Amino acid sequence: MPGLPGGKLAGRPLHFIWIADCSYSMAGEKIKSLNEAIRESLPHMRKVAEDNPNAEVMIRAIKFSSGAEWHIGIPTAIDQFQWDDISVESSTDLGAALSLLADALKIPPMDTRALPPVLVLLSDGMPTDDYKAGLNKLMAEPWGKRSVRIAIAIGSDADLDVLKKFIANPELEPLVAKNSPQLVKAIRWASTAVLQAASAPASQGTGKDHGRGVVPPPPPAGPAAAEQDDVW
Amino acid sequence: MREGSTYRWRCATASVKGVTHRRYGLSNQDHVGWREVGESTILCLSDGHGSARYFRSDLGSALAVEAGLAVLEKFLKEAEGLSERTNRWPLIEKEIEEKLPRDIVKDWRERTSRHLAVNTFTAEELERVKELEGEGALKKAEADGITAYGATFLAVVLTPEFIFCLQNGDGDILVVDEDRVARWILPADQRLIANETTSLCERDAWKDFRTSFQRLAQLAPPLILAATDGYINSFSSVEGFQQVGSDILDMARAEGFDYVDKHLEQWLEESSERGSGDDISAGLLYRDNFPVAEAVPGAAAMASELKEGRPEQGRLADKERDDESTAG
Repeated sequence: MPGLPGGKLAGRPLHFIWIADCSYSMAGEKIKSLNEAIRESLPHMRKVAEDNPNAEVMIRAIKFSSGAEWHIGIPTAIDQFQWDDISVESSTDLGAALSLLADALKIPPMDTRALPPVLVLLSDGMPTDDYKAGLNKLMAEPWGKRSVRIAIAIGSDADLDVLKKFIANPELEPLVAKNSPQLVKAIRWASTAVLQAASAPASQGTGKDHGRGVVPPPPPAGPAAAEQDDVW
Repeated sequence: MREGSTYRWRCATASVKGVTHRRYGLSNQDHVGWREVGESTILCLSDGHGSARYFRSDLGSALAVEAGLAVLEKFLKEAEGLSERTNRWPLIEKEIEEKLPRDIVKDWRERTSRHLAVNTFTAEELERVKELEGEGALKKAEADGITAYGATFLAVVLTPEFIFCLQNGDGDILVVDEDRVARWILPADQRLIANETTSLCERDAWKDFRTSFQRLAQLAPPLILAATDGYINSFSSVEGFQQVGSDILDMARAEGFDYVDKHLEQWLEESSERGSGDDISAGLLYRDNFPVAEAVPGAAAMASELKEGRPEQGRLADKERDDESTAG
């Protein structure tokens, strides 16, 4: 075969970012389950990435409590990604987390040929800072507005209205995990089914339906809280 | 080919199903077509959106190419009738910017409406939309059937006197000059990232067209490349995609255009496989210079100029007009 015209070929970058609440109320079983569920999802994410070699999946994580910071800040290829446990601290500064996320989605460093990023927010409570300012900043970024946004409410005290505003998709509700198995199931869905759908190259129209065509239906919640020993 | 011309336009096209679509048993959503109209050439491409709510976009892109070729052929024939008008250029340019986008959208909507009238949506098609994209998408599909056919549109038209391009949605049209520099003909649409694109199916779709018109006062560029977005998305950088244009020009000059035509489909397949995974369609318009028979007045001298580089601005146009009046 004659030489291929053009420069270096590459799959399209797909950024997957966990945004994890590590406020004090997450202490105990909640944070333990979160860490285990994310770690447990990694082999399944690797399988999805293998099945979709034309998407270059890169993973990062933000943690937020009093302020927000990158827990794993360098976009890491899925086959090299390792999860370090996060531990709890104090408050629930979601606004700071969303502001940090917005900075990461600017152009640059985002590549215009990237696939829509997948953002998964996990939280168990009400924000303790100006989350609207952070959310507005995120949605003002072209990549923020066009991202696929998933929210998992951990326990009954999570502010579902805030999570719905983050998702900004009337067809999609926050997943609610009231025990460890439900959290595992929700994280598995976000990290595999959603990642699978986001890896496909289908186009969407411009306009208000940013990112809405990508998310597959979520799974049923799983074992009811009453059947479990731990109820959050 | 006009008498006195020392070149002819060659066209090559190819369209490949993306490796991702092959993997999931989906159809190729792209279409490409071209047509000669007298001494002019029309090239049209279209990329069907492919996601669940655009469940007939493979048909939509085929109909878009048909509509484009038909409307642009009609325009070229009518433009010939303006040749005696002293104000023809502003008229032609205005028509390209304002009337052609409306006509193309109108023609496409008529074709898709006719198809839908004979082939109503099946329960299976509608169920799939609801399952994958929810009630909102289903309601929109039922309310406005044309959405299901949503596709982009790109066109390049070359005449002996002018070149123009039209585009709605993603994809790229590059011109490669004599120095092998590849650049975009049309301004970018900043909305088109993250797999989002404007579409022929949208309300007032004609307003989203970008157009470019250029009179050929000197020699036309040696190569024009038009491609759907699966191609540029296969490269790690924008410069890597621009290099496609200069590499193809080099190959055409060294090996001949037949060589490029023969290998274009393979190149697109490999680019999809190792790059974006998406369907890729591309069209090439190549100015094939050739030694002209001595019987054509002035052609030998002109061919010599072409070998040495670009003629001075205006000289070639004047020379061809002189040859025409002599031959007439």
